Amino acid sequence: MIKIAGVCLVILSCTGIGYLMSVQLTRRYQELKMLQRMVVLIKGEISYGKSALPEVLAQVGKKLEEPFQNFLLMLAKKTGEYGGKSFTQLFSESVDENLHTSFLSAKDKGNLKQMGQYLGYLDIAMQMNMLEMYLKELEMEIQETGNTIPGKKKIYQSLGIMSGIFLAIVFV
Amino acid sequence: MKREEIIRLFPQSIQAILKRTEISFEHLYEIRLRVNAPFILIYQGKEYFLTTRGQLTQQEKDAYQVSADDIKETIGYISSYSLYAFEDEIRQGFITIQGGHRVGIAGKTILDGNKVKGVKHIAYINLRLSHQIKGCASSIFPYVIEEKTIHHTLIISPPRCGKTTLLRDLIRQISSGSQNFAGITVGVVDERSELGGSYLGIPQNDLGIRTDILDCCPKAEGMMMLIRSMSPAVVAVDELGDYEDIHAIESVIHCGCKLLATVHGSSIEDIQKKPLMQHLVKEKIFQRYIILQNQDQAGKVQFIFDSRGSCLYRSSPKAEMRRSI
Repeated sequence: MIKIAGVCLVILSCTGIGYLMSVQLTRRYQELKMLQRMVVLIKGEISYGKSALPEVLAQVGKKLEEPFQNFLLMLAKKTGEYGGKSFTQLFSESVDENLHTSFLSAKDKGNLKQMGQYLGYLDIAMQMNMLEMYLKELEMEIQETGNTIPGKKKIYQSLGIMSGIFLAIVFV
Repeated sequence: MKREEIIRLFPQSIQAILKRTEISFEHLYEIRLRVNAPFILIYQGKEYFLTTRGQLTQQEKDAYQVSADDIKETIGYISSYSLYAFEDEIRQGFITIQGGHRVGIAGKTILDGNKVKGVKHIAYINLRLSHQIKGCASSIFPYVIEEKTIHHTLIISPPRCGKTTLLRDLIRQISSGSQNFAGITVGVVDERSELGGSYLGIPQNDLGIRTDILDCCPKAEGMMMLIRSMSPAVVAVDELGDYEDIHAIESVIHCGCKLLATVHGSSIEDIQKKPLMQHLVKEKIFQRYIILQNQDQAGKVQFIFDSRGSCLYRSSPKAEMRRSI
């Protein structure tokens, strides 16, 4: 009886792990889309309102969902504190502090930090070009992720079940 | 004026000095930063150096030396890390910040043909603090308003003599009213955000309860917009100068609105030398000319003339009068 229960638990947990990994893929895809929306909104605020970054970040932050809402609102707050750090430093710290629970990959976060290096630098045209370039990179990443998600999800889920069955056989 | 509001604009090293100093910010007019030069304050009308202990001194050797990093950090804070948002202002050589304070900048100019496109390698900063002195226009109020009628008024003054402060209080008193005058609607075109000191659209200075402000709007366009949209009884603008401004003034006056304005100069003669202003003086468009002086205190009225050039007020019998309308 105990053996059967153990086998069931192993299969169920491995299936769960596989399912969770597939869910993570979907969540990353959704967060990349949200990131894209965030950049479009930032671009709009800068080009239309010519607003300064703290105002832009606070306005856009209010329109987004977590984790980006907190990320932008905290960054807006920090930029208003004038604590002796450059904007690049503040942006990078905020990515680490406020997006650590997100499903974005390390590469996604690295690209985001790189974008933050150039925010506020030089003139409006520079801002627009830089944001446009980042949006293009993001679009490519979203497309690539979108195309590979169904296949990867199936693999993760099947691998979860299969590895569960395999472990159960080994243990029995 | 909030002391903290000013101090936080500077890098940590200067913040520490300013926090230590015991001077009253109400009497602080300018803070000057020049790269590799002493830290200078204009306090109570006099120039002082500031030591690392936060004490005022006349000895240059005791003064805190401003570094290039100090300037760079200050510019970052002043522009809220967003120099792009101040492109137009930088082209004119200054940025207006929260509270209506004006930050003059100088460095290497970037040219587009013959026009200045921007400034890079900023090495000089002059923070001119905006002061709201409620009641400072009370002495000129009876000359501007006679029998409940407001006169078209031009305040003439050299820089740093308090013309914006005087205009701000005049607007406040006309808008909110006083004992003998019920307030009326005032429209303010605040091209450089100095009158209202608006932040996120909310004025930080009191301009009265019946005042509508068009913030960061070119004067000429703004005056017409206000007339069309807010039907003001009085239109107020700071620092006239362009051809478009003069043209718009005529439209304001023909619309039946009263005008309050300021211009750089030290006498009516000075104004008449400016081709654009000459026409306004000759046509007797302004009914009151208020001339300020800066001998002992900013905002002190030296003369008040009417449209014909008759002197209605003079600060002292010895004051030298220069007028020829």
